[in-house]
Amino acid sequence: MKTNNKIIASSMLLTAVISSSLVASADVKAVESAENWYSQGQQATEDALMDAKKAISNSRRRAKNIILFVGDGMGVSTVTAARIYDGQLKGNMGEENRLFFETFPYQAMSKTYNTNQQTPDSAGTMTAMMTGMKSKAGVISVGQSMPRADCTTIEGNTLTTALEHAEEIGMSTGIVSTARITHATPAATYAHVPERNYEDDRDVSKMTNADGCKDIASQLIDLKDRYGDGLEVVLGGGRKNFIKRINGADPEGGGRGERLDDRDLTAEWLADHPNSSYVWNQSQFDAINPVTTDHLLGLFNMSHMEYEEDRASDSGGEPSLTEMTEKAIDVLKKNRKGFFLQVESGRIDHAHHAGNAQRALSDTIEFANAVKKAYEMTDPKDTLIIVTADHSHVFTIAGYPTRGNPILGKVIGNDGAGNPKLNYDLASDSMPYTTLGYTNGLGFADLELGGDTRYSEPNAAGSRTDLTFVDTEGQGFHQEAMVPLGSETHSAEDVAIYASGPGASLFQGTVEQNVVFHVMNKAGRLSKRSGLPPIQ
Amino acid sequence: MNLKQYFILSILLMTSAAEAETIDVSCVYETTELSQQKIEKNSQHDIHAEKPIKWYFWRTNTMVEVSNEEQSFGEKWLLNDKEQVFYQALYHDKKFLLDFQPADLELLGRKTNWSVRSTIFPQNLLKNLKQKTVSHYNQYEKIRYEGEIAGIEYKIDWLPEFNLPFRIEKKTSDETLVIELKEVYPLTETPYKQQLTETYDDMDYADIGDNESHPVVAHLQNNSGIEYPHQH
Repeated sequence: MKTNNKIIASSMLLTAVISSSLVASADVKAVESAENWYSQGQQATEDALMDAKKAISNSRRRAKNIILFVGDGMGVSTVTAARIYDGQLKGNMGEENRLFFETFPYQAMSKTYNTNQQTPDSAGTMTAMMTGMKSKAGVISVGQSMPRADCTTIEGNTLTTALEHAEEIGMSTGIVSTARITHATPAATYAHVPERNYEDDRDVSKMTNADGCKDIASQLIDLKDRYGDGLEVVLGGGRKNFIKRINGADPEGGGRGERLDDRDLTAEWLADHPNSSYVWNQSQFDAINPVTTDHLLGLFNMSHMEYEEDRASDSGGEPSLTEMTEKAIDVLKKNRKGFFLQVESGRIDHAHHAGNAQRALSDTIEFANAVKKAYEMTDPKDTLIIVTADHSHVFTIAGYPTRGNPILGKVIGNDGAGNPKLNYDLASDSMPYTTLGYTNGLGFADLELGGDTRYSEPNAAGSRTDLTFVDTEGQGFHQEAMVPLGSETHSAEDVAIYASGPGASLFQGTVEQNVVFHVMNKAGRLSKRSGLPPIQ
Repeated sequence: MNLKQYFILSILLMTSAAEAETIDVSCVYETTELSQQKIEKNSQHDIHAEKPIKWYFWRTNTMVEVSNEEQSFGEKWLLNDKEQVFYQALYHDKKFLLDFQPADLELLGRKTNWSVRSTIFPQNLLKNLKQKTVSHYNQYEKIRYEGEIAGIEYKIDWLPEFNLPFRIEKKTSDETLVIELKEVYPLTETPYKQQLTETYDDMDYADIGDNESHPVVAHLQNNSGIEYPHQH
């Protein structure tokens, strides 16, 4: 722990915080006024009226292309904090900012519970979004009646996914993730298995009965044998699940992968598809010509890809989520029948689990950038873009910080006149506290490098730390937590759905999470055209 | 200090770089900690010796593994062609291992120097000590190095044949740590076999957060903790 290394004189810190706050405040006040708030609200209402008028025709239009963006663990509080952080990084107060997808015309709230769990996991939630049927935690696109890790009843419990419908129709399909591409969220688009951890054949030990099921990585490569001509674009992490467990199997370092079945799935990808490429670093990725490449496999890390905060230091070099999204669309859009693309920011969730809000927010901002890129590259008249999360986290924005207070900072409230105080607000224990915090997890730590490093430090949750001299805005800061747990947990609250393009207006009110599939299905006429049954 | 911590401590002090040939070996070492407690009343020193801790060491050109005497916990480092080091924490008693990618180690600030890991004592420190006598351990040459570096007194008996220490004595003002080789074998002939971990349940370090309900992870976090014990 380096807490003592980051001591900053409190007077200097406060002076800096408050002076920057006041400067920003003056700027915004020039724009913000009572009249402006009124006209801005009026304009938003007029915009909503226009959207409402268009809603009927919008709901009837067919989406040629469908892009489903999932921010793993990107609950409403994460969106709010990331919006403020993004605005403040741009030199503004922050609260008035909007992430790109927040400008989409149609929104709904999504109820995320699994069929057997009040607070869900990513496997069950993504199953709901991809198949139109909720299921239990830990299972990948199979029915809720299947016992976890037991494949005995896989027949009759295989739930057809939107991606499979799209493949069968002849659309191009792609998946992009910063997590392992065999991780729960991307896996639920193409695989069917009652255990999310069955990522490669060596994981068979995690199954109580694997007969009848294949590991997730092999299901990705073998998709072509089941639907259409298989995936066109696969970009993410998780290389180890695709290569043999022999020394020299890994092209980056010569290490070994996980597969015991003597299959090199990357080689199979190249052999199976004409005009195909396999890349595993940034320079190879940059060299890909999407015009001449019809099937692109990119596996940029043996496990998960880096957090956006750490991406620059990756040894092999990794593309950003935005770059991967751009490349994917460039490859997919060549198909006149359209495409289905699922993009996941997988590590928002991991940063929250580790109690490191800064990395969660940085990845959320990059996620918003990727959405913007996708929107700019497509036509909103024929492309349905949905942005949502699979679940939320116990991540809170608390206290009464003054306007423009650094979102990663300690709370400085307003005085009786409504102006910023000169000192931090103190809790009943006479210590300052941060705006952002977690209900549970490992709690406070201030490390040289944040993120997963937190798991190697003692649990500090359940007690307060005097943060007066701690730089809480640094990337190595981990927020305080109340209930001590080995890692911070998901939460059961609803998440938001933001949508643009044909069919987007079908998102209204508070809906069950499986409605996401049905909107895609209706807008894309997926099952109608594929003829595939929902359950096989 | 519990046994596990003591075991960990045995190699903790060994850091920095070394460039040397290594041969495949299996060793048994013992670590003893001698603490010097000053008795205020009569200003005498009482030297208290902890019970020696036995631990195992296995090495090839691309693998280093250590294990505690009970073989309930071990650690393994694997070197790939690009000189990247992968680390595994081996919970033998739970048939479970945690995989650390090079990126994890870098984030943890614990990037491993392979040559140090495979020779136990850093060669650059050795070079800064004075060579004294030459004797023998069985038929192998044993060279004594002595000196003080950064306030720490070292006495090292080095086996150049194996590129490993026979004995390390590290003395500070209040404690002395002694690591001593007890047995050494060619790896193929050792009676102390590495435990097979291929069938262990495994997990990436980065996945801990998503597996709070995993029974082994939960147990580790509630007891000994998830850790990367060998710090540089």
